[in-house]
Amino acid sequence: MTVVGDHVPRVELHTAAGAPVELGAFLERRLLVVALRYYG
Amino acid sequence: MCEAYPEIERLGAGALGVGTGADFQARRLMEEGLRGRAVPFPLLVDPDANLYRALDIGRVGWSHWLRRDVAARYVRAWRAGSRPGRVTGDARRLSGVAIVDPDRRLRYLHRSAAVGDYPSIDETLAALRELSP
Repeated sequence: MTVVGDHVPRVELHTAAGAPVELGAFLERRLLVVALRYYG
Repeated sequence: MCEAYPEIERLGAGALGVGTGADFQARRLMEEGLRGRAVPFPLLVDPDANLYRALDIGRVGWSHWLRRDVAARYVRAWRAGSRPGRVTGDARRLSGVAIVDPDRRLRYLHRSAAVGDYPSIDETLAALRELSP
């Protein structure tokens, strides 16, 4: 079970245009709020 | 979270949406907005639920939608203007909100216990304020 304090593993995501991207591309030396929500 | 984005930025943080739905739905949300409000941060697609599984965000059975609390949230969302679109991706996957620091460390996590169980904007901002330098 992932808990606060753990590292978030590298996983492949896609941009809305379909290009592969990784979460780290958005961290930019700052905190990142990630909302995991269904789009449908 | 759109309405809280200026405060998120003021606190020096960024924001991102991740969903298991289709990329055309993410594009439409970014281009047309949500309830007339443009989404001011990127929306990504996670078709294989890689990030969801990495954060142990679970799934529910179809009978979950029959629960009284879930039905009540659905009605509230409908009254607020939300309309379900085409079902794509993993509609049974629960949702969540995570705050990740630049070292990829998970600093806050709300895992939904039911469909529509989202943390309030105030709760998310309070967590962010505690973590912000």
